[in-house]
Amino acid sequence: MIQDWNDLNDPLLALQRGDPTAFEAFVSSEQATFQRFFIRLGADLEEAEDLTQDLFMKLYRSAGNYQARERFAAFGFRVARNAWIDRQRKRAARPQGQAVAQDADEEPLALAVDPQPGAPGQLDQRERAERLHWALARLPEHHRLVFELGALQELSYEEVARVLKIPEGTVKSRMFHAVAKLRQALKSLGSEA
Amino acid sequence: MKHASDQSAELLAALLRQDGVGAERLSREHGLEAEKAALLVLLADARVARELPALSPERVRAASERTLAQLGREPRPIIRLDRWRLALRRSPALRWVAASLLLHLMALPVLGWLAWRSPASRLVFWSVELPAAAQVEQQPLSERRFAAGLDWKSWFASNAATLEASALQEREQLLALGAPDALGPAGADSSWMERLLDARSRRIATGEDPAWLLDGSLSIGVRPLERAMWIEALLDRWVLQGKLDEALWSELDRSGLGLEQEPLVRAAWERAKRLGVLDRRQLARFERLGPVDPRELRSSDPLDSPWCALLRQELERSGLDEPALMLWARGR
Repeated sequence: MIQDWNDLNDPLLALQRGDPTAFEAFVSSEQATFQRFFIRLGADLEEAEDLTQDLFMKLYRSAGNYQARERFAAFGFRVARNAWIDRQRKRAARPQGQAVAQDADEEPLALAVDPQPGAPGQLDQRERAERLHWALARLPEHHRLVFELGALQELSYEEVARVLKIPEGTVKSRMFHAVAKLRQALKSLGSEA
Repeated sequence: MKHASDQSAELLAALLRQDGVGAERLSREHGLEAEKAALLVLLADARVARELPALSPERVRAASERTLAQLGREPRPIIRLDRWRLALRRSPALRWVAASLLLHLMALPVLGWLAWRSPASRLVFWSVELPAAAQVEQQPLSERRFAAGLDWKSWFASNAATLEASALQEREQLLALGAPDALGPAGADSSWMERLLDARSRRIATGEDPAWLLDGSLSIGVRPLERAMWIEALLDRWVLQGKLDEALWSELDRSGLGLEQEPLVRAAWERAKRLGVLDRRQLARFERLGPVDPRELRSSDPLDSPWCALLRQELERSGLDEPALMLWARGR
């Protein structure tokens, strides 16, 4: 996430105090964060926008019951992940003809949409990041999610375990295999020595 | 001994939790310097990849605005109640207090019912001074005697039952005594005393008053005997017919000046007191006279022997030749 949303900045605690401004700032700041999260999970842009809006509404409505037992980022991604699972279930329940096709070999959105040139000093890292992103999209979902939350969103193993409702040891193992697969994929692209 | 992949996983975990010292130690101990360097590059690239895919800032802003607009239409979360609920969930002491309060609230109707059902254990939660009753008590009786639309029971709200009981008791005695037989009907030329006694006899015998009794045609003299007899007649009317007249209190007030000197008047007041019709002021005046000689005390019989003796004395003292009255006086 862009900002630290804990303690006094916690948007839901602020709502409980009757102050909506922190939540509004949270919506404005982290809109893109959650849209990208959903896109990396497999949503298209419009679906990611819908999911993000639903996520914010769910968070807002849950303010009454909210207790700050964990970092707000972990809580936010847990709700986001549940929203994604709900969407997957609804999608699975749809008649076959209406199912949204998700082709694993489809070009990742990051490469298809607006690749921005970086500054000359950052160009290599930008390219590497885009390739990493491409490789990430091809990981199995359980590995992709662990890497997404642990490496991209910088949640701890313990937090990732709570978000995904799996043991911490499993997180560690999945992270190791995700990294290994990513490195393998990047090596095949010539990105890693 | 740990497997190489375990060591690599430990190194990755150390790097992810940004434990530089631990990562350095692991890489040195297990010869993983190259592995560490590659992982550091990968994790650095991952932080850049976090900003991918690149999104149109305008589109993101528009999505934010849509969300904020929808939030504006949302009902405000019921935070205050939820905060109480959260507080209850967190604090066992608060839960205990809330449960106790709830229990007491639930018990209130039961306690109320028990108190209502069992007068002996009735709990007095408050007391209220009834203003109406208090005003009636404080107001001089003379001012409330003939308040419009009120009957005598409401004037004597505090002791109406006593008044009624004493009147009924006298009534039974008067009716049992009966009127003296020797009296003939009083004519227009009869003396006031004859007419009065005729009225008294008629009332005792038939329960009726002659029309002239209270129409103002009867002229009462100023002598104590006349005053006393007039009071007795009015008291008879109250006792026998349940009618209280303004004339009674007027007569009591008027005769009160000679209370000390006139035993017959005093006897009439004694009867009025026993019947409970003296107002507070009259009662105070009567009680200022001091204790009554026991020989002068009237029994509940309105025509008792002491009264008849007083009547005889008064007749003799005044020299009045009133055969009808003498008949009454001798008749006892």
